[in-house]
Amino acid sequence: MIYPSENLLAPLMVVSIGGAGLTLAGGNFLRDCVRQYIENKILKLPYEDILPLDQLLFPLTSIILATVLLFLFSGLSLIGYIILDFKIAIYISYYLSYIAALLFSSSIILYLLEPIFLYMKFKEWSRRR
Amino acid sequence: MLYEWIYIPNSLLILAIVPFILTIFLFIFLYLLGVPLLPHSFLGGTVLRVPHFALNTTIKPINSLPRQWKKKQIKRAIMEGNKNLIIKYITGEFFDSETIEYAISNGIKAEVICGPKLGSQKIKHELLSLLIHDNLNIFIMQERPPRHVYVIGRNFFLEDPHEPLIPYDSAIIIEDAKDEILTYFNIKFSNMKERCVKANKEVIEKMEVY
Repeated sequence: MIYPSENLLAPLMVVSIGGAGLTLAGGNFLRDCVRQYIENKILKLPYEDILPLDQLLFPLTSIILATVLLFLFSGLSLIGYIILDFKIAIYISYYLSYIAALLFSSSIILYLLEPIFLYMKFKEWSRRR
Repeated sequence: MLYEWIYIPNSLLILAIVPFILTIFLFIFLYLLGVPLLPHSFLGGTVLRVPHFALNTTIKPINSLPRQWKKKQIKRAIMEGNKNLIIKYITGEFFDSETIEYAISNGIKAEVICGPKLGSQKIKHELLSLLIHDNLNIFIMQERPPRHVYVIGRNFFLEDPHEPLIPYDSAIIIEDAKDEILTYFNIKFSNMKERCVKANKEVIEKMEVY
């Protein structure tokens, strides 16, 4: 059975445009959270500008931008489907949106797990003589 | 056809699973590109927060855990025959003269920036005895450096901020630190050195102690 691709059109339009906007806003929030976490918990303030934090956070900015681009490409695929009636385009759009959402949400989960690992290693060190 | 099977799926399962698999591939690709996937990987290979002393000791702690780590790193460098290694140390009262002595007596070069006041009279005598080594350069700052760092090769050790004579609670160790960190730190260290007075016997003898 081939599922009717038309049903995907409306949700995908919302997801691709909304996703790009939300990721931009949420991405900056995530970047600030990671920066605050590194400053307050890892380096401890005042860190006296000993480490180049802006430079170090650049890869995270690139992950956020990659997610936004995936959402935008998803929207572009939809335009291809609407104008040229390519059935494949709607599935490409679906996959791109799904991957972008997964990429962003798994990044958040990975960043949330970090303090737990750091705390476990601290406990391990504190038992040493 | 495989092409159609992927892009025009005829099963809900494929529609749900394929994006997951593609995302995993994307993560592997990002990892191979060297994009950090965890906050600590922004800093280096291993990042540890370590206590200064073991927490569950009932007697007064004497064994500084970071000092053991520093000695281990120096020993490793000696074993590997890494004579080009330079230890860069920013300190307030120069309490950790022990590891510096250990390193320079084994032929490793060390550069130390310390505050205008030393921790005790004993440290002053130790410093004076260390000055006979050519591979040690001590620089004295006009004001106490607020953050204390110990860099051995690519390993970065950052103490928590602490008051003079009060030991720090914990520190952060960054093993195999990123090039960006080391380059940035080296520039900062050179800038700090320019604001310092190079220590010799007379300068150290004139230094105040707490």
